[in-house]
Amino acid sequence: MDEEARFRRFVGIVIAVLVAGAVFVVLFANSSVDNWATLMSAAILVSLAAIAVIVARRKKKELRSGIPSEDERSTAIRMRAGYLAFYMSLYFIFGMSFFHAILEDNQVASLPTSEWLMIYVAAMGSIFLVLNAYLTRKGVPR
Amino acid sequence: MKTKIKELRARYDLTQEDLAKKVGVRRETILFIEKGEYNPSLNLAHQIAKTLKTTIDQLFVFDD
Repeated sequence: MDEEARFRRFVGIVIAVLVAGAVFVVLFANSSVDNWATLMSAAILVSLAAIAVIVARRKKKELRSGIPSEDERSTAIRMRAGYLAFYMSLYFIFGMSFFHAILEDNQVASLPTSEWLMIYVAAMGSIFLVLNAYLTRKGVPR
Repeated sequence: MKTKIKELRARYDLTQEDLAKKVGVRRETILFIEKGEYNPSLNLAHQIAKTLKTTIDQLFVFDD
């Protein structure tokens, strides 16, 4: 399998995981647990705090070693990851809006718009972070 | 694209990290350039060539 095919498969897996996660959240919202939004917000905040701690520790280590934390390749990767995350997020939002419409048509209890927005923002951020980590390891596909 | 960076690094007894520090980039960038998986900017190519006491056209070999 060539690099491009591997990358496409990886992108497919990321989208599938995100869609599965969002479906899980919706099903969870329909269950008897009524404080799921608080739990989700707490989970996102804890995740963000954990990422911030990891990034800060890495930067500190790099500063001590004298190696720059950013260079032309990491900038190029970040730009590529941002570009791809933007388009993948559009597909994700479109797919989830369709799923939302199906839920409403079938009169299944769904989430309020503000909570859907929270899911979209979390998904966009996650897609960017995953792509950035992947491209840093594997390089930008040509 | 092939490069002679590894060969020249060995000649001057430089590790990837030493070269990275000298030209002001991350070690991974040197690794990917050596593997031919990243095309450096003209400025970075010049910096590397200068550090390894050679020229850009001798450092990078294009298969065309």
